[in-house]
Amino acid sequence: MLNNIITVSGVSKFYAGASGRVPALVDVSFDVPQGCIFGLIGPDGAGKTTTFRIIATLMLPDCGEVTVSGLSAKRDYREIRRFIGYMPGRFSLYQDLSVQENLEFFARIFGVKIGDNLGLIEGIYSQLEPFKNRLAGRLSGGMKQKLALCCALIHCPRLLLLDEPTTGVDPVSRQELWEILGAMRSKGISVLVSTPYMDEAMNCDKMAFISKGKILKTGSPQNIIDSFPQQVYRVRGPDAFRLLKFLRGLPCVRSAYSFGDSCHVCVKSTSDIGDVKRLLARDVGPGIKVEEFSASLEDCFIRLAQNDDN
Amino acid sequence: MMTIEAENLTKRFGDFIAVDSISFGVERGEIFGFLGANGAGKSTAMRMLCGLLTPTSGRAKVAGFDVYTQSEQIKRNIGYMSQKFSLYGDLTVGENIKFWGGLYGLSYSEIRARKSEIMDVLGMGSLENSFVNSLPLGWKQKLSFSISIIHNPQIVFLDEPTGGVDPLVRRKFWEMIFDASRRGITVFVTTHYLDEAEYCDRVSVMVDGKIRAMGSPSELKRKFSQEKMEGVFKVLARTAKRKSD
Repeated sequence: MLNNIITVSGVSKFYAGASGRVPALVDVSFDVPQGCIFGLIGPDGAGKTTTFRIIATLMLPDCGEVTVSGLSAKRDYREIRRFIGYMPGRFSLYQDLSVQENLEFFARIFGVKIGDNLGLIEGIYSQLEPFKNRLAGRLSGGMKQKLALCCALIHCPRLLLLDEPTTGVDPVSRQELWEILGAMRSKGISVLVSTPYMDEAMNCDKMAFISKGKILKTGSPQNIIDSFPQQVYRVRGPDAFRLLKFLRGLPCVRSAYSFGDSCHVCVKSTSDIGDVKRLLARDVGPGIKVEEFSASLEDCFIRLAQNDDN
Repeated sequence: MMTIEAENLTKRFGDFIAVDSISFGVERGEIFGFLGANGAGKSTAMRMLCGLLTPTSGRAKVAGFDVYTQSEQIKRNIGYMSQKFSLYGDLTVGENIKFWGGLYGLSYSEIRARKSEIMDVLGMGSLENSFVNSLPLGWKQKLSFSISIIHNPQIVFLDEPTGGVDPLVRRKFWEMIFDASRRGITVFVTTHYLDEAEYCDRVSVMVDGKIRAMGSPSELKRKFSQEKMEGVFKVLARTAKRKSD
């Protein structure tokens, strides 16, 4: 059995822009192990959708190789298309067909019946059933996503490609979707998923940070957190925005960002935190708490995105 | 001073009660988070407050104007931005600023002044002649927000302004929101990122068309014995009976 369901090696892709060729992907390489949930995490315009389109055999790279289940994405695209399920970021179903018609359409394209893989989609399908005669374009955001997922799973694919499936979806529905992805994994389906939510990235077995067309880091979420180079301090006090501005203004502060009701701060050298505490006490007042805090994936992302900006 | 006052505001579509007698007030300069699951009735409520949809019953005043009889004045005194609709992608950055400035009735000299101010604040000076479509989503969102307050409105309504935006850009976006609120603009915002709910002065949580909880994030966390707003939201959203359809 193959170890990797997807291999991407040395892939570059350029688009024609007003001022010449614009790089979308630059020498991108990563492998997705069989049977795992792999997260592609990166800011807007990082190249996530281009990566998905190349793996889904909808676009050819300018150079480099992609294999899906050992087959060449360039040569064997017909065969690959048979066993992948792809859910693009933009809602891509037929808005003027009903829920049921969309499902039937996708089933027929893949030469299956809706009932064939009911075991796989049952949980989602039962939620859609009350609305099966409604036009897809008139569903709420959460339900549209469920229908799109159902259509992508209808032929029981070996690999599920989900490009930002939870953007605009409320926290309860997001959690439900991740429970579904966990169930898919336990049925042996490999999943490649992109998301801007860091709490979701934590659910992946492995992930890659991508920015400006380049892979900045790959590993398990825990590996990535463990490699955060600095101590993070959590600073809490009333008027968080004023606190943030004050911290940013201190020369010994390397970075300060708001995290819910507190600020996460990194200092330039370890000894500086004493100065920060002293200045907070002197200029902002008592009642400001400073404590050591372990970095989150979101801290890692911000650090990488920021380094990339400079 | 209250910039938004709603009392028993209700909207029915046939026998479906999308918004069920909600009452609340938002003070000048306040950042008010309007939370709820998909389908809870947030968008309908927001459309009534923006003067785009006539309520079935109840009362509401926005920027001092009545939602039934003065919807045109409301539209002139509010800003609105959503992820779904914001700027024209096939116009340049400069053209969008001119277009929206003109729509809000600013004079040419005001538009010029506001344009250079916006370009400065966003550090976008070199992009004035770029098509909006060619900008990364994060830039578009920040530009869109700046344009939504180009006419210095009393209130700005933000409908999921940070959907799909990465963590760094979200934070930069919220720093712009804080700045606007410091300048006295009331901010009415919906979001699915519950760490952002913590940044609001007060939040309300809608379930099945009703406001089920309202208060500052720390009050709500205490009341529901949760460490984070995420927990508060989940406790309430799970009580929903209405199918999200």
